[in-house]
Amino acid sequence: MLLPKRVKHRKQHRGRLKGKAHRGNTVNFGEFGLQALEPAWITNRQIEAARIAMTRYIKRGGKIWVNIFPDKPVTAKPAETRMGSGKGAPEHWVAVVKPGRVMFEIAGINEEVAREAMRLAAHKLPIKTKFVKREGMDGDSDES
Amino acid sequence: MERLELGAEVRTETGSGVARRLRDAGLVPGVVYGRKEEVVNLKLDSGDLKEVINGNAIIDLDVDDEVKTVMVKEVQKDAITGQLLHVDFHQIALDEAISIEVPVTLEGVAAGQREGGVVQQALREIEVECLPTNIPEDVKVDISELEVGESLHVAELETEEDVEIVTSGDEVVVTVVVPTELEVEPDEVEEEEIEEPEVIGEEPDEEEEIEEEEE
Repeated sequence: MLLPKRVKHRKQHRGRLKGKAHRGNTVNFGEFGLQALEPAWITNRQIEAARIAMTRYIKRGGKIWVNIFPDKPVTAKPAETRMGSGKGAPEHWVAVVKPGRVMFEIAGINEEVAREAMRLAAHKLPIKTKFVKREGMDGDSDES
Repeated sequence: MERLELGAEVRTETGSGVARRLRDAGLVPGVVYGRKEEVVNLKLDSGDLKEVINGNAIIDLDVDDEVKTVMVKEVQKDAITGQLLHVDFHQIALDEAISIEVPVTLEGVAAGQREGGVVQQALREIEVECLPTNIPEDVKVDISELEVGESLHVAELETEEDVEIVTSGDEVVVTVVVPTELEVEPDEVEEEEIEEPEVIGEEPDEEEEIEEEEE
């Protein structure tokens, strides 16, 4: 599963999830993409599950890009612990995703297969998403 | 080269509030500049604009009965809705060479594709320098002889005589790569231990710290 090799600090503040994605909001590497329509923390497990769902569907052929990386540690206190005595231990890693972010890209397969692969991947994510095409390619995109 | 016509009105008001009201009314704010002439703020009909912004067309922009020869320099769109937010027009002279991005179109089926390779286009557009009237619609690349692991570079592209490629010749245009293989995953019942990355500037011996926290 994805996680950083080295970090400067073990724990981070939660931060705010305001605004839209102003960068990484276009299909850059592949031909089709899966765009987030809501803000969320996407965990490394969810990213991995989505990637596996896509790879399994397209079997051989095609190339997949994962454009998000879970570099934010999320901490949690153990169950039935009294409040206080500092911040909990790091429990998992998340990628901060804002609306508009193209999270996954795919190339080398036809649109029908790409759509289905992205639909399966979208089911592994906690947010609404949209299937998008590279700019300049004909046709519309749709939400799921 | 395609030549289109577009009407526009001069916009005297500026600012985000004005721009928002214009967009709500079905208009798009824009600007025209270049050739050392005065910068003019514009407002345009979004429906008309959508028909001219694709491709490298030369546009006769009618700004309050004054016709300017322009090309679309930049288009800003909302990343989610695709709504047009703003457009920049660059004034050009038909007898002066300009540098412009032209799409690269792949032709044929790569030999490597038959062996299971995936064609990956690294460069979708290249920069060329030519007269506005000679801008090619696209630069065609024949990829039928590309094997798996082979690539084509900008230096190998062919264009018409009066079109000069500006993009560096070393850049890769297209390559045939080995496809994504389905990784054999180990069983889900893996050790549930949370790995922790190394903390920069800290000794790797963290056991004491963890013990302290538990207390």
